Amino acid sequence: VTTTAGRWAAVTASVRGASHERNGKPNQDAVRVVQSKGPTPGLVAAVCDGHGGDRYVRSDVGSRLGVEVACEVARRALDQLVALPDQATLESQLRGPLTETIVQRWRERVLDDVRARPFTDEERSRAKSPLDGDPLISYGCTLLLAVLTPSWVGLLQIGDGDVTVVRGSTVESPVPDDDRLVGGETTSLCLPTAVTDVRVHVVSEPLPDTLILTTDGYANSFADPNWRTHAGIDLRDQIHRTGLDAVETRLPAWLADSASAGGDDVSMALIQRVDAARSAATAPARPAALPVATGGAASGIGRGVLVASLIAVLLIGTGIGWLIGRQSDTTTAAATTTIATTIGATTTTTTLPTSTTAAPPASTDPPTSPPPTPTTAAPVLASGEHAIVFSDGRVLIFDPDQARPGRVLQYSQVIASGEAPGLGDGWTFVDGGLVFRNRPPVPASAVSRTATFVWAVSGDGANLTSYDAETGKQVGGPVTIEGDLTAVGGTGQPDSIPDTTPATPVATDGTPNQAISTTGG
Amino acid sequence: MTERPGSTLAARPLHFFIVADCSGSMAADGKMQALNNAIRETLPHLVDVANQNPHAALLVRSIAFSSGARWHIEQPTRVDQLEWQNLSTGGYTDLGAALDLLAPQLTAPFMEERALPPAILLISDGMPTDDYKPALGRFLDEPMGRVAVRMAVGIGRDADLEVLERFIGSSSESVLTANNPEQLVRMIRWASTHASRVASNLVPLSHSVGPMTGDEISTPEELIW
Repeated sequence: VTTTAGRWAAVTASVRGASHERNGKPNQDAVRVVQSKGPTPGLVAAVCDGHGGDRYVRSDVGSRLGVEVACEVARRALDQLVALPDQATLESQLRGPLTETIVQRWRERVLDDVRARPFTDEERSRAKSPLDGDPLISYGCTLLLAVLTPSWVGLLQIGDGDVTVVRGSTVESPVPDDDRLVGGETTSLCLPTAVTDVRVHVVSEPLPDTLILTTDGYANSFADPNWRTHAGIDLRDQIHRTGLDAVETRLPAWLADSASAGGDDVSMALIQRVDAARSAATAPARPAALPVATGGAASGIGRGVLVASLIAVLLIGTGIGWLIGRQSDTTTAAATTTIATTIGATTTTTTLPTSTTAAPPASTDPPTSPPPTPTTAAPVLASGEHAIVFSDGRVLIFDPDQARPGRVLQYSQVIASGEAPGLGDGWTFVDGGLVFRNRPPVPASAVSRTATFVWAVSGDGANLTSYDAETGKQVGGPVTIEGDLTAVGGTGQPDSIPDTTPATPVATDGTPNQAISTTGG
Repeated sequence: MTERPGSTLAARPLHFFIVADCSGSMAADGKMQALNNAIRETLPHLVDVANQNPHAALLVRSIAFSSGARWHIEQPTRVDQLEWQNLSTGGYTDLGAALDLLAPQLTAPFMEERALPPAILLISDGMPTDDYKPALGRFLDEPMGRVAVRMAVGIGRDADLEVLERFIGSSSESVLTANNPEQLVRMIRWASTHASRVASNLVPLSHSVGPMTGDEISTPEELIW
């Protein structure tokens, strides 16, 4: 059942490990998703992995209590958390009061359970321990928690497991690592250090397309250490292609494959940003109308650049459209560019505003017709041209049907409010390298995808190269990127090409945890 | 499209290290021949353990130590593809050198992050002749050394059981001793299969090793070594 609230939708699955089946152990994982109850629409997702050692005779119960408690505590806190003024405060609240409350409630629930159902001799025998001295240990489990609100996602982790965040073509593991988690040893809700062992992170805009919370049985089932990138992109793309409901029906079988290969229980909470999926599913096939901004005539003051305002982005092929935010119109005439808008079947050609001063035209395409229109401040695309969003947020305008586009334009102050498309099966973009299957990475500062091609901007941002999306072969380029990359706002400084990693994690707590306490996974 | 998301799935590597004393004293009274036979006889049982735990890919390596230490089997080898070549004897008992050869293998890139805690079987008939304590410290400083399933077999009355106990540490297992070839076969077989089975369990050693049962301990008591 898909759980939806506000911008988020989630499905879950949990499968008993093959090793546990052979040993007669239950599925010791638990996973749960709940909706917010207050005025702020949101979801809370929790995943717990009960420790597998003989000593942890009730870790399956501990896991169940863990997800119940974590979801309930976070759900109640959600409205208060949303009201916090900044990210630092938010992280400190997640790390402090929220974690403390979860751990405290979990302990209370465990002790209630022990009182209601005292340990049996059979359990003591199985545990090779008297158990009663520290009953919490028998219920030991890890915790992954995601608090999903309209404007941020709070992540909280005690022990092993993985939180994977997919944003555009970027896949990340934003929660700080804990290098003590080696060889099946893990921190745990059952340890006295549970609160100080917590690791938190807040993901803010641009929000992820997809979040994947998994117990360690999932990661450990993949041969490739880079499993996260493949699984993250594949899951996100599957959702975009088939919808979250369809993915949910297949999820148990996929997890069962992992549970069989790696032997451990495998659980997943799979969370999708609804508007990301919707834009992928409903974007029209090309061509789409580009809204033409009105007002904002050329000021004619000083030299400058063409500043694009509000344009809509059409991404053909995958049929994904995004809006690009409009900025002000500090327009002058360094670039006198004629571009056209395709609106439905009608193509009109417009000349963008030019300076009234004598700045020489620098365009490769002299204005044709009609003369400058003061009321038009947005770039208008020529026939065949489309505005394509790249992974770092930059927008390039070119004809994506041509492996080697005649020209590629970049406007300095165009800001994408949408996101780049996924690269598709076999492609990944990690650490400045575009990789197709097992080929060597191609250095790139940004990447995107259209119907036929995957596009890579060179590391210095100077040119664009195309690759066949199916075969991975380079088919065109490099084509020089033209554009007003300099002198934005009259400062004469090179304009910033947007950061190449828009999904850079915000500040995280690098404070090393104290004292490892091992409990066994 | 019904293709499973993610890359290739695979069983988790379980590295099993046999660290064997090949000092000159092992040549006496047929000890080395008995050890070679015992390991060879154990391999089919290890194959059984591997088959019972398909989620663990059992990979064997072996270190021989005497005057210094060297790899007897350097490449991780699937147990069902392993052909045991006889160890030969000669030299001192440089246990420290063996541990220093072993320790670096317990971290990346030699040890995969997803690998199960390794199993290590140490076999010796004497006292270390090098300063093994710093090397043991370095070995135990490795996280995978600390959580490894460590077992030890002392051969004959001259084996330094205290050293072997230090190697296996605080686990509930005690050092096994063998005083004749039949015992050695039983001990090597039990230690190897037990270590592999335990290490396949997805849980750290300290929480799972049980003592040898009466049947397993029952061996001929004839004192040859």
